[in-house]
Amino acid sequence: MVPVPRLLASTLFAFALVAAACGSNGGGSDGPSAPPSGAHGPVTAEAATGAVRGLCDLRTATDRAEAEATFLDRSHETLHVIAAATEVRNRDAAADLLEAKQRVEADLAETEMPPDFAADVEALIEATRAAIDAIGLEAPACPA
Amino acid sequence: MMDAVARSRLSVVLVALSALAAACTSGDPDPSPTGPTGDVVSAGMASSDHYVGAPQRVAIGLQLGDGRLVTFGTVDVSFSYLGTAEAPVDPPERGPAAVAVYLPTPGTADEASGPTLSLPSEARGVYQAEDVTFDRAGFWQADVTADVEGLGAQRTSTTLEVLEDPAYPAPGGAAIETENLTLDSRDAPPEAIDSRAANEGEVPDPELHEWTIARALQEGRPALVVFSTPVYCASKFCGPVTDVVQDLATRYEDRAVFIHVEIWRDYNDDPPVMNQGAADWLLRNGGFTEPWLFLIGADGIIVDRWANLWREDEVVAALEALPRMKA
Repeated sequence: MVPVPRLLASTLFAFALVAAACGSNGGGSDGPSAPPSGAHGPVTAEAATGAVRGLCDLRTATDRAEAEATFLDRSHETLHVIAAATEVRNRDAAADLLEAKQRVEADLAETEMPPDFAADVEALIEATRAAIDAIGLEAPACPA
Repeated sequence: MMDAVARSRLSVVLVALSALAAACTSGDPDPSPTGPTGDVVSAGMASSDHYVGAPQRVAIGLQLGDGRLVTFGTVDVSFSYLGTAEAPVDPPERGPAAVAVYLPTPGTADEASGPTLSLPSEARGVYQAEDVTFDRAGFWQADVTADVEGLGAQRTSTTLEVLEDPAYPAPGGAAIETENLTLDSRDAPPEAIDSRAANEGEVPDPELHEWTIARALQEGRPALVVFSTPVYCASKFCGPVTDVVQDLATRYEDRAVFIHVEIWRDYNDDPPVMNQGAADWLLRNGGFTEPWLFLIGADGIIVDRWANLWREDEVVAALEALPRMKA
């Protein structure tokens, strides 16, 4: 067993960093202070909000292919960036996020949407909001 | 070796800065060629632990600022030597060139077309050049040119570091005799054997958790070993690649033993605790990358290795080249 000071960047670090920094119209550093950041780069409030809103829409998905597209196109990459930024501040929150994400991914890997899908997405939303809160950003709620 | 990895970490930073610069230059007065929407293709390294004197795979991801990926077909890559931090070379010296072929993430689409733009839900992957040989250690620039449907000719660059020797076990070298966790490791929590057990309550893919690398070496068995953490992965490829190995295990059980080494003993601890088996192979000077796949021959020598993504047919060919094992 080997304690590791921190998880270092994966080889896709640069790839993810570009997505995080420039995913919202190329703006990644226009604020007065640097956004929270981890091995995958900075998390902008806009990107975090976009990821949560994607998950909000995912809750009511009934078609598996459509659900997978919503998840992959709107949330998945940013969830990795949020988890990496959270990991260096609150490992429990990062772990909760990654575990909840993996449950949703496992659901989407099934041929049919499992009955627990909505609950698993709800848990992922809560884990994502907790992680966003842990890195000091305002955690958006789903629209009523 | 430790110093080499420390430099490798520096290279990651350089690569990130390079890619970031390339991606965020839409307001630059002289940007790279752009498409009708003004989007700029940026490149990022998707392979690591490059070293001098041996043919190896080099993988590069191409992405637009809006999150779309360049997918399918081939792109051209030319490498030029930038020197070292202590002795930079200006202008860069021309090195090898290669055609890089699209390598899809397992389970995602691949089409026989030229490079095109895709949403992540439509297709995602990287471009991989085979048999690239670097003749010097230091920093190298990879210049990528691609004719992307809808964007036209695109040119972008990224940077990689080439080490004198590989930091991780590499083809031609001896496998490390590791006592990785198995289902018989009674003192290990299930999630230390496979992180998915944290969600599923039991260790999935039991056939990947029967052998230690040490036992395979002692019995002269070829072994295909994947180092990955499906739940706590740093990249998005970990889960699918473990699944690919599980599938291979069911089809080629007569050629090799198949082993999944989970990265984390306890991801939640502070500091997190890595499994000794993963650390033996991947932890260098406090850092590591994953996932990795290693094919070890019956003689204990590493036949091949793959990082992040791999072509299943390449791994299949390597497995089928092995003699059938005795029962």
